[in-house]
Formats: sequence, C-alpha cells, structure tokens
Amino acid sequence: MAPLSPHPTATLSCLHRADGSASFTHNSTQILASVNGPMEIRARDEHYSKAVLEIIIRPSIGVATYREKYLESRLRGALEPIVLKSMAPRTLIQVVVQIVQVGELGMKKVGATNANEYTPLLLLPSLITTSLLALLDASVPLTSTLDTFLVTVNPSNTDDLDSQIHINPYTSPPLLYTSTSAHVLVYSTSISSPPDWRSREGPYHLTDEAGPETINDSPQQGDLVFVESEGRFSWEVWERVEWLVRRECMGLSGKEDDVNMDVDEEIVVREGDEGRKWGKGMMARLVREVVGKKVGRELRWRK
Amino acid sequence: MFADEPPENLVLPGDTLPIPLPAPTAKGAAMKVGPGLAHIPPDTIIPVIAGELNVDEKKRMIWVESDGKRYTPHLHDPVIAIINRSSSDFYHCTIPHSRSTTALLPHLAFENATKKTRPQLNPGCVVYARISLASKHMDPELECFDAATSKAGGFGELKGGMLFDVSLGMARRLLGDGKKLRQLKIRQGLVRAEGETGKKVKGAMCSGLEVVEELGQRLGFEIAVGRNGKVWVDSEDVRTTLCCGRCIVESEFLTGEEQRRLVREKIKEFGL
Repeated sequence: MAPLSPHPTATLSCLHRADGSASFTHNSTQILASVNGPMEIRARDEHYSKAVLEIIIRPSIGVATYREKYLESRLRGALEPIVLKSMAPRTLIQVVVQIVQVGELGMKKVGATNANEYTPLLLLPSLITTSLLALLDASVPLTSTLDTFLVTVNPSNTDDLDSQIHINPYTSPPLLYTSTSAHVLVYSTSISSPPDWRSREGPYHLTDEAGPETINDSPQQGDLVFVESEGRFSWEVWERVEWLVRRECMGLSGKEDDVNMDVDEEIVVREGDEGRKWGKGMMARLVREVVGKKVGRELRWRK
Repeated sequence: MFADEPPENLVLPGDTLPIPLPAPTAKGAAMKVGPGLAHIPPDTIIPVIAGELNVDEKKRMIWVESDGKRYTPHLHDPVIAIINRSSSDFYHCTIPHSRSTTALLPHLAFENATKKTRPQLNPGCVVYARISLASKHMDPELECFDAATSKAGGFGELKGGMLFDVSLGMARRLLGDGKKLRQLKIRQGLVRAEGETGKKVKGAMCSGLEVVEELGQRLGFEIAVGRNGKVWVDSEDVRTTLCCGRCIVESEFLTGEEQRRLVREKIKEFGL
C-alpha cells in the first residue's frame, strides 16, 4: 500500500462538457464534481429573484440513499452562504458530486463500537473542497472561498487537551477511527462579502435594498461558515478545537507559543499577512494553487 | 510544455484587490466596475470569480479576466443564434451556451425589412446577431442590423458553413480583445511592444489572433465569431472549412508561435 500523504491533489476542467469540473484525490479517496449553470430551470422550480442551487451526490457503489441525502444537505450548508445567487435570477446552478472511491476516509462511525455504524462526516471536507473547486472552475459568482478542516479528538493518549486534538489527521487512519469526536469546520477566507440582500425573502425585501446595513449578515473574513460535529465532547473541547483551527486557518502554527492564551483573546496577525489573513489551511492553499494553475493555463496564449 | 504559472494579479472570490483602484480624475468622476467584481456600498470592491485582475487607469475600468463556458448576455454583444420557430412578429431563437434558452429576434430587425419584405428564416437557420436587450431578469432580444444606420453591418443569416465550439475567453480573443489587452499592457509597461517587422520579441505579448492570421495568409475562408463561444466558418470546400475550424478549436491553450506551427501542420495534414 502506498504511504499516506498529508497533501491532497486536484485537477480542474477534467470533464470538458460540463461548465466546470474538479477531480480531487487524497490517498485512496477520490471525488469528482461537476457544475453546470447558471442555466435554464424548470418553471415550477424557479425563484423569481435568485438562482436555485441543486446539489446531487452520487455514491461510489449503488444508488443514493439517506446517507447521500444527509451529505447533500450538509454540503448545501457549506456552499449556500458563498454562492451569489442574486446574480442570476430564475436559473439553476447544478452541482453533481460523484464519490469515485472512499478509501481510508471510510465511513465508520466516530467512536462507534459496532462496526455497522457508519458516518459520512469524514468525507465532508473532501466533498466541500471538490465542489468549491468545480464552482470556481465554472466561474459561478461566489462571495468567498472556503478553508475546510477535519479535526479529531483522541483522548486516550494523553491528558493534555492540545495534543488530543488533531487537525487534518489524514496520514493516520487510526486517528480517524479511534477518535471520540470528529469535527468539520469551514471558514470563509473573504475579506468581506457582499450581502446577498437582493435574494432575501420575506417582507424585508424592499427595505433591504435601501441600504448597506445588512452587510454584516453575509460571511465575513474568517467567519465560521459551517460546522458539523459528531461523537462525545464537552463544550471546552469544542471551544479549544475552534480556537486551534482558527489559528491554523490564519497560518499561525504555534500550539507552542502562548498556549495559555485566552480563547476570547484577539489573535494577532503576522506582519505582511494583512492583505489576506485567512485561508492558510491545507485545503485553502490547495484551492489557490490549483485555480492559479488553471488561470495560468488560460492565459498561455499571451506568451 | 512549460508549467502554467499563475498570473501576477490572480484573484479568487473575496480576495483583497492586489492593485489599487484607479484614482479619480475629477470629483464625482465615474468608474466602471467590470465583470467578475461586486461592489459593496460604500467603497469596497471584491472579486466574485477567479481570474486575472486588470485595471485601465485611463478609461477608469477594472475587471477580472476569466474564461468560462456559460455565456451571460450583455448589451451589444455579437452572438451566433439558432432559429427555433417563428411567431407573428418574432423569431424565437436559441443562443447556444447561454443561461436562458430563448431569445427574441423581431422580424423587422433586419436590414431593409418591412412588413411585406421580411427575411424568411426556417427553424435551424443560423444567424449572426447583436444583443439589443439584456437583463438578468428577462430573456434577451436580438437584432440583425444597426439601429442607428439601419445597415446590416455583417449581421444576418449565416448560410452554409459549419459551427465550432470554443470557450468564451477564446471567442473574446478572436473578436480582438487580446489585441486591446496587449495595447493596455504595453501602455502600462507590463509587456514589451512587438517589433515593426512582426518578428517575435522576447517579453512581448501575443494577441491570440495568430491562428486566424496564419490561416488567412494560406487559405480563403469566412469567419463569424459569437461571444457565446460559437465560431462559424465557411469556405469554398468542406475540407478548408474543417481545417480552419479544427485549427481554431485546438489553438485554445497554445502560444502564438505554437498556433502558427499548428496551422502549418494541419494544412499539410488536410492536404491543402
């Protein structure tokens, strides 16, 4: 068996008939996503002021079951806040994600004693990153990119909370399987996002258009856009997980320095990073690198 | 093949703009925020798609240069549309690769068209038309003449020939956007101006039209490019048409020099 690599790889535009597509490989896990849209929608599905986001997940074997439906709803939770749906009213943006191979991110339930208990939680970071790449490839207007983290907590080894928490523990499947809790955290890397206020429903529609007061409602830089946790954990553990991941997302590796820092204390950003403080995690760096290459390829004619 | 380096001003959605906005020339002067950017009142502009950020200080424009496959209609864009059916006043058309399936082309929006003498177009006919109405809430409308001069100006039915698919970026390049961008970059001192003799200068930027220039020197053909990523090619025989179309489609990711080489090879391959 090939050694497990901490770094995933991805390619864009692998399906030439789709508007945008991405293939994501990490060790033996492989995901393929395609995005089409904005395009024509069935009249009964259309929304008068915004695009409709359709998310379909297909399993590697068999037909989609409740597990895929659950993943679809979770994936929607991560993608919906960043897609600028008001840019293309009465259209459909279709995201189809094919799980090609599940690999070591197997679907074993976190902290389960029964081998038949499964969870798709460990797959979520790959699914989110792959669909984000496909959306970027399709040039669908987004307000932000995402930085996705998988965190496991393994209390068996040590009493020190920080060494129990493992961020992106992809090289070590035992950490995935023996953990008591697993968390998926997704941060927005945007500096500040425009509000999707034109698509807001309800009686506030008109007043919303009047002013910029609603900007704060959309994901801002470093906002936690999405979180999903599973297993048994205390509130302190979750807070510590969030704090450590936030630091990782800002490129501050130091578990060592100021470990005793208060959770609420403001994190000081390194010099020179003011322009883009967020998105230093593994997935965000992958997205930036892959998209940079794709844009570079498109500009090749200039040489 | 060399590695595809990301451009200097690469932006991803939500990034801080890597270059400053053009300074206002006068108080209250307008600035054009082009495709790929969103304005958050009062004074924040963020990219919403991934691509290369470009600024034109002179025209006070800022936009994101990006490729895609799905076309969004914009006013005055030349497009290649296909007639679906005719009703009492309109032809109902499809703009391929567009976000909406139907577009309306009035029977009277042709050169010299009157109620009695209007062009007879059947379903399946291909027209080269200009977008006369574009809104994100409505289906676009087309016209096949210039409303100011009432001349066709190259628009109208495309008879014979073949259609080829290219990306939206490639279509814009074929319509001369690459040349404009090159002029801008030369003015900004980012690339060197090409020599008078047409010889390749190190550090010079290509226009992206090399494939058409090379084809034009060697073959006789007609070409119409729609911004929706369709290219129509016609010539005296099918072989020439195919050769031209293939060259254009395959030159998408090639440098200027490679495009010229591709054309020479293809012409040999087709025995022209």
